[in-house]
Amino acid sequence: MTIITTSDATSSEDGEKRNTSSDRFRRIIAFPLRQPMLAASCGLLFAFSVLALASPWITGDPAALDPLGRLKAPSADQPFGTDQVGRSVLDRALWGTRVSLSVGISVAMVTTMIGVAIGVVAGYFRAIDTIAMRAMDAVMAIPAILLAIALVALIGASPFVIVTAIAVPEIPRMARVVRASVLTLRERAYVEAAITCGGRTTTILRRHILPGAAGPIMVQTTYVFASAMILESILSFLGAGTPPDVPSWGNMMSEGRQFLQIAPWILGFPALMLAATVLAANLMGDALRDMLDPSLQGGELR
Amino acid sequence: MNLPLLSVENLSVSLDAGAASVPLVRNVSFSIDRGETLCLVGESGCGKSLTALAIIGLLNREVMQVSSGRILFEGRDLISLGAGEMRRLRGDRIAIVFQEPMTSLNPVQRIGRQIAEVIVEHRGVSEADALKQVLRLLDLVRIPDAARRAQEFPHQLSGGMRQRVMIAMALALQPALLIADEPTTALDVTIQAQVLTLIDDLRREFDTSVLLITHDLGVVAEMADRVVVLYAGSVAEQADVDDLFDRPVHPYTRGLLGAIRQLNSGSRDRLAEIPGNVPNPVSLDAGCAFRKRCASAMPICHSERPPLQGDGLHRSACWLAKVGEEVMA
Amino acid sequence: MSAVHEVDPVLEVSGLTRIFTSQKGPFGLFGRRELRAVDDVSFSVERGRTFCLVGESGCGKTTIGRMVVRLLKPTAGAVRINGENFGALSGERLRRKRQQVQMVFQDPFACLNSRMTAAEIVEEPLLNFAIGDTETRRRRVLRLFDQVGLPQHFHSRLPHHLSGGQRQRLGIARALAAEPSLIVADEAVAALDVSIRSQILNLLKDVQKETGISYLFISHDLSVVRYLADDIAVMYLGAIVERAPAEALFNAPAHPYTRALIDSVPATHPRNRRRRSPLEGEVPSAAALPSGCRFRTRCPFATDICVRQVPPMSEVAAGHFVACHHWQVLPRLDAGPSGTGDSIAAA
Repeated sequence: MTIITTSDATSSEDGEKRNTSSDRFRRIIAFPLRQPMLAASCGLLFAFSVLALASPWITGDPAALDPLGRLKAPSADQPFGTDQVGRSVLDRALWGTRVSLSVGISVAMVTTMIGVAIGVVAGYFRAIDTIAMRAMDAVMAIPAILLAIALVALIGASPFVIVTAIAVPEIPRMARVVRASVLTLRERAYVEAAITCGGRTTTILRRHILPGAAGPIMVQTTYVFASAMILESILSFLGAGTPPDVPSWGNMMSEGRQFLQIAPWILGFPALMLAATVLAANLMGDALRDMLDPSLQGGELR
Repeated sequence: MNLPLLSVENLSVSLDAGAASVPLVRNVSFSIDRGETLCLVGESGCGKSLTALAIIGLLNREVMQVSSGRILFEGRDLISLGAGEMRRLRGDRIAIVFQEPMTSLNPVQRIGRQIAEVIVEHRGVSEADALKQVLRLLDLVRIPDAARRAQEFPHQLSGGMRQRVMIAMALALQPALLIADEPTTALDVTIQAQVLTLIDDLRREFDTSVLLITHDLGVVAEMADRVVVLYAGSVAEQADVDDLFDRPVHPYTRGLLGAIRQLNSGSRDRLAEIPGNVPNPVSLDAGCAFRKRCASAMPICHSERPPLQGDGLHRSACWLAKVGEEVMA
Repeated sequence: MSAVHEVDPVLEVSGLTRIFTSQKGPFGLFGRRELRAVDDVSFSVERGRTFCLVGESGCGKTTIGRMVVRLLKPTAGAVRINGENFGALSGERLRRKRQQVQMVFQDPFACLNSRMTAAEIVEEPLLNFAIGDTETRRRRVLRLFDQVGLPQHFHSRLPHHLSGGQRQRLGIARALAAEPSLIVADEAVAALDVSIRSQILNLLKDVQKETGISYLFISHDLSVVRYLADDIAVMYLGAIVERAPAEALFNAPAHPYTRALIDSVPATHPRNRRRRSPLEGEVPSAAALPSGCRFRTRCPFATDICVRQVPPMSEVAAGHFVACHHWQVLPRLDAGPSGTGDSIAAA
């Protein structure tokens, strides 16, 4: 007969130790092993953020021209080569990280705040639901790029306008995700219990509904973050985004396009960096979704 | 004496939780004769459903496995059967009815077709013939207006009707053994009475053996010939039904029986309680699994697990019974 | 005849009706479907007593419970709690009134927020109703833990570290926290194991003895109801078909449906096994109620009048009401007072 004696026996009758600090420490150590995808994507995004923050100190002036060293292929001296006016592609790509990440983060924040507000209100207050969601459908019916270009063309390219132009088409998607989870959460017995316990609507939303919807919100936020960076590059590439003098990945690709045949590195390196960042963000979203979706988890002892 | 239809010998099922393996069913043995109803009683997590799944070969193999024991059915060891042979046996010789019929019925297929499919697959008859048999089966499980009902989808039926459909499907091939896992738990009392009567009538008519799994001692009193009481994965007591209700030995069985008798007596005195909670299978040690809730626990209960003992028919796993015997001797 | 006593109802339900409507076809082009979940139900719960609503699934008992705690708004009728119509309140006054009615839920797993500790869960109503300061609340929570038999050191545990019985104790502690006059318990022991059920039933009785609280206990389980109830109402298809003190209902059930329910309770000993004559058929849909008596489609005693007329509530004995045309001429029950069939023992 097998007899199991484990130190962390979870008898429900007598007191047991859990959540001790060593336990927590062990969990942090084990994290990359259990969630390799999440850990790797988090690591990559973290590295990009550090590069973005540190770029003023680790790179030279991204606007410094070198008329003699134009269109130089990657070498030990210039690992990413130089562009048509002799600027270092590496320096500019690193500066571009700042633009991309800050647009991505701002859009993600704006979208999350507004989208969550709309989604929660629509999901919890049935009277507002239909109107709010039809308005969201209307916004979703307009292609995101066109809407963004129209907004930029109308108001002009400033960081605020670019963030707004990218965030507006993303908001309905966020609102939908949030509304869907609020709709299921408000039917939960513990939310009903909170109502009968005299909770104010704000308390119920804050304590019981929002924490329950946090998972899907986080996942959607990472997707918004990724698609905002792509959209920003597209806008810049089309000349409707970041002003041309700012070294953003989109601007670099736009300029590099003319020299694709003779100097593919001008377009290639920023494109690779964009792809890597977006991929990391999407992988993080997928890993978060898998981790937070209880239906995808294996059988656990209850 | 004839060989029993099914005999489970020292069955253990364990859960593979990472590196450790947690036994959820330990050394369970019982047998069922032809035409007999055996009830497996216990509370949630006692291993009664796992035992049934092990018999029918439907354990989730990624996390569960039969760690020891044999399951002899008509002389063959089911554990050593291959997946294909097991599938042929299932439905044909052994059929199972689950608690919630909705999850075992295909929601987008008419119920007549669903039952017919089972017959076609196992008997190789034509679909038209099978559909004819289906109507007879639906009549048999007392579904009124069978021809119309056969054309309906599962969601158009009530819970009781769906459970009848499941029973019809289970009986389609006249199995030797019907396993019913909490077949009436999701049903209302008046419908429960109908379904239990139906199962008992069919058992009589076809000489089918029934393995009935339940948490409800009322159902046991109504249906069982013999009873196996499970607690925390092990057999606490097993006996003929009359003997068990008249002379329960194990303190757990006594507690359960006391509770339902008191509830139904019309008395409003304080109920006798079994204190505490069912232990987590991970935390079981060498002692008796029930000792923390037992009023008559002795020193030996803490150090050694009581073996199942008694005469051939009435056996219990309790040191008290052992002491009683020695005193008598 | 019981002595005339001061009637002091905690809860008075009168003419309570709830109709659920759903649209047929796109945009309701083909009209609306009306489902009478609860139809003109009246009863009252006296202070310190336990009133049980019994019936099978779909009979409307849960809908009544949800209207009493005001998770649902009644379509018509009144729910008076301590004299004030709870059903008509809204906004802040509704929220404040909730202190007087609390609920114990069926599923001890689903009714607790898994992110909150045991102490936070019990403290929540105290915070919401602004009862006491931090220190009083802390002491009150610990006292509630004692009262429901939870060890005090459980205060920082999360619900998933508790067993089903412990969770239900926690749910009861939460319901008691605000010192309500009435607790609505909807199938509060149905999801529990047999050995745990007795513990919780004892707890509910103990609490009533200590605090004089009233219960509206909703259940499908007649044996539990028999143990707990002072008064019982049997529901069928959204209406009360029989209402009586517990003893009277079990000793002399007057409605054929009540008799069938009592007859369906399984025996408690294999010797008392017997051939049952279970009710034929199934409960009709509440969207298409039968004419006249709603039970007539399954009633073995139904006649013409049952098709034509809705049976009125007749008083069988003091406080014992039944909605049946034929209650006077129904055959005597041979099952006797025990009701569970135990009395037809080994003949």
